[in-house]
Amino acid sequence: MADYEIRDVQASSHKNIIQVYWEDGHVSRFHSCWLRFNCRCQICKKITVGQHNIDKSDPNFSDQLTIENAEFTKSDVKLTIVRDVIKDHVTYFDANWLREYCYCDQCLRKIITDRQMKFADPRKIPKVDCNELKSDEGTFRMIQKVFDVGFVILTGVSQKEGSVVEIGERLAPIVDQTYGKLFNVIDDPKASKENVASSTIGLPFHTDQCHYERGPGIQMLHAIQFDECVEGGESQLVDMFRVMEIFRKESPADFRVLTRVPIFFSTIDFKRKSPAYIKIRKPVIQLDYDDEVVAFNWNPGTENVVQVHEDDVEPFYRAYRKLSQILVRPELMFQYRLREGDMLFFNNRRMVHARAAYKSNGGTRRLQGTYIDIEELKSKYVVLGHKLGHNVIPPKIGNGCSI
Amino acid sequence: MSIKNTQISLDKNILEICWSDDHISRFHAKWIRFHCKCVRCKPTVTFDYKIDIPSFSPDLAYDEVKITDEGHKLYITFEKELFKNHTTEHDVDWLRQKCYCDVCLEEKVNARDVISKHLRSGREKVPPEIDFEEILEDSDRGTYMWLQHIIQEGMCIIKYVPTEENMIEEITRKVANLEVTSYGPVWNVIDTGGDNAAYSTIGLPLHQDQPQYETAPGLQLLHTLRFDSAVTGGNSTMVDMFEAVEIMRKESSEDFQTFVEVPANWCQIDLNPFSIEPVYLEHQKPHITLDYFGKVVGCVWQPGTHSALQVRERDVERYYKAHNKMMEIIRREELQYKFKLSPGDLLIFNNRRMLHARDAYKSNGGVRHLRGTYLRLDHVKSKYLVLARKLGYDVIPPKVGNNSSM
Repeated sequence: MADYEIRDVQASSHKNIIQVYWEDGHVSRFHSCWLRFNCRCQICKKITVGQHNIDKSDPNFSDQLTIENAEFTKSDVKLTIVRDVIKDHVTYFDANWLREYCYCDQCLRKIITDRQMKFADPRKIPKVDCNELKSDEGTFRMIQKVFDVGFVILTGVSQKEGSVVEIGERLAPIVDQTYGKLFNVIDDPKASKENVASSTIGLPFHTDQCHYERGPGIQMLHAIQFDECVEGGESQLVDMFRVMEIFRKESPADFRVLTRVPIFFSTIDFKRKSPAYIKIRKPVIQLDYDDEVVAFNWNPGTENVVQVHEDDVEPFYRAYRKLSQILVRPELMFQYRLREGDMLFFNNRRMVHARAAYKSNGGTRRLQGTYIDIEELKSKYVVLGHKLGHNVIPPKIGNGCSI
Repeated sequence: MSIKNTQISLDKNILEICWSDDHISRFHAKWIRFHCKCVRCKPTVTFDYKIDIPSFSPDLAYDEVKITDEGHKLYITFEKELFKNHTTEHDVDWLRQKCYCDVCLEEKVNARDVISKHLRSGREKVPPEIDFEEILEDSDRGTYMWLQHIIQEGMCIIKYVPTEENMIEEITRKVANLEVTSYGPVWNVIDTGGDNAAYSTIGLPLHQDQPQYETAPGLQLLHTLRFDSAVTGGNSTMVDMFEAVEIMRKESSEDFQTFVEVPANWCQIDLNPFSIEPVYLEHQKPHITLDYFGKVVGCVWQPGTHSALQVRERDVERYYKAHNKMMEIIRREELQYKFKLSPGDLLIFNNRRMLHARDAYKSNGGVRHLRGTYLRLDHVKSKYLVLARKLGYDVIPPKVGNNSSM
């Protein structure tokens, strides 16, 4: 990380704002309350997880925290606050930390743009040999590709049963919500009575399990058997964040409707082996504080009854229709027929996926699947990157925030 | 419930139904068509995708409406219908149940708001208790009983659970698979002299666990394996944050609005190459989540794991003002459950609703040891409803604080 140097520090006339002038020309403005409550001195700085060293609401702090004195060097800032609750307390910051947390509009904007998702060319299918996972560097690059493009195809995976779980759990904890740690996707007349995925029909674009509050992050599907005689059954993926960007540009009013008017998603089945009542209401598009898209929910197969105000019904259907039509534009679709030994590894919170219908012709198409936790995978990615000496920006992954 | 009469609007887009109790419903053409319950259209299994909305004409309009002689079914045909010779079918009782007029929507949301109902009841702040015997005698009924307390009061203590390490998993797995976090599937709250405030003897202020994830763990379970008499302090305090949020809304709508709009950052970051478990988890979200109806459906509070505030200049001071207001509210005596755990107590609470705290303690040669785990709220609510149905109880799917009101 670059070393930032301070040129000058000035308190405002009301003594509640500090202006920091940096050697590189940047100017930061910090409120006195922000400075005091984020103090980095040894007493206040968090050294243990969960330790609450600064009680912001201590009534002995004055209502209006004002700066008594401000001193600086090239590499740090020391302040005293009028009537600080700790006697003789010096509010301290090193320059690099302070610059990293500058919250001027320009710096806040940079946090977002640094993490903006880039949209890949659907004509290029990203492939990674699974032997790459034997090294830290290979693992780091593979995860990086998943976060950049939205998915990879791992090739050369052993055809041993359960390979998908073996590979998955080395990367992040397995998420076992409904189908067990390991599930099979195969044409099975009995299973298809419970879930249509266990058949040969095509599945429309969707993301898995958005009837849960937080859908599983990463889905892995290993083609353990995919006979040559089987016709069809291609895997199809679309980057939903790209779709939403197009939607926002082309129909801003419709876009707004889907950020506001929610849908129900549900799986309610009291009769199946593990009976369940999972039902939740969420908007299709989730925005954050900066009006950026940070998550979405899309699964036409598990939508439940629309229960919204009368005035919202038609705008909702109009917007839904518009988004559905963008989603199926051919130029947005990645399409790939898995070969035995291939494993599809994708961000289920960014990509929607579909399956072309297929004809068995006496053969078998069997995929083995699992889910792993995407927040833990992102953690692994940042930790590995740091260990390997790479300059990693924690990526935006579609889990409800930009950072 | 029967239909007195029906009328199609002039623009053929609305079907007005006047019911026998004089209630009036208005259903849009697309809504009626896309929810058709005929054999061809109605989904029968999970993920059965039968109606492709974009395939239908945007100018779909009512043609004719018929009620059967028995009055139980409605048959509707449309202009610009997609399927040849198709008649849309609806069950009259189902239609009334799904009426979406403002009155009905408000009623449905309120019916599910068991949290507000409980807060209005003015019940004393004493943790509800269940004897472990009740679970042994009848596992389904016993489990249902403590789940019901979680749904209503937000917490429960199961008394006299044998102080064996595996008991917490045994009881928890009757509901669902454990929710695993960076602390592992099951963890020990005991003084290890270490790198985490919880694993020490210091006091912990009121908080929810782990908001550095997109969704914090749902249910928290803490089994008291040991709480020796030599140990002084270590008492528990809990507060229903939904209650605190409603008070904030009443007393300061400005601070309430701040907490809805201005997000905070929470993190668990340790990139030290020598640490046993390096980790990088970070999330940014507001303290209060409202749903489509403006009701509070989620809240977050953990002052111990904040990272630096990263919001626009104009939001900084208002954020700290709102923060102080909330801190002042949750410290009010009248909001607090205060109790001391005994060995054998299994404390269970909705980590998305209840704040928990621990007084500092002195070991004096003794040991205070709790064993803990988590469950996802989706599974907790699901098990509650599945058990209710199995046992023949009529319950409404409740609001649980997982960001959804219905």
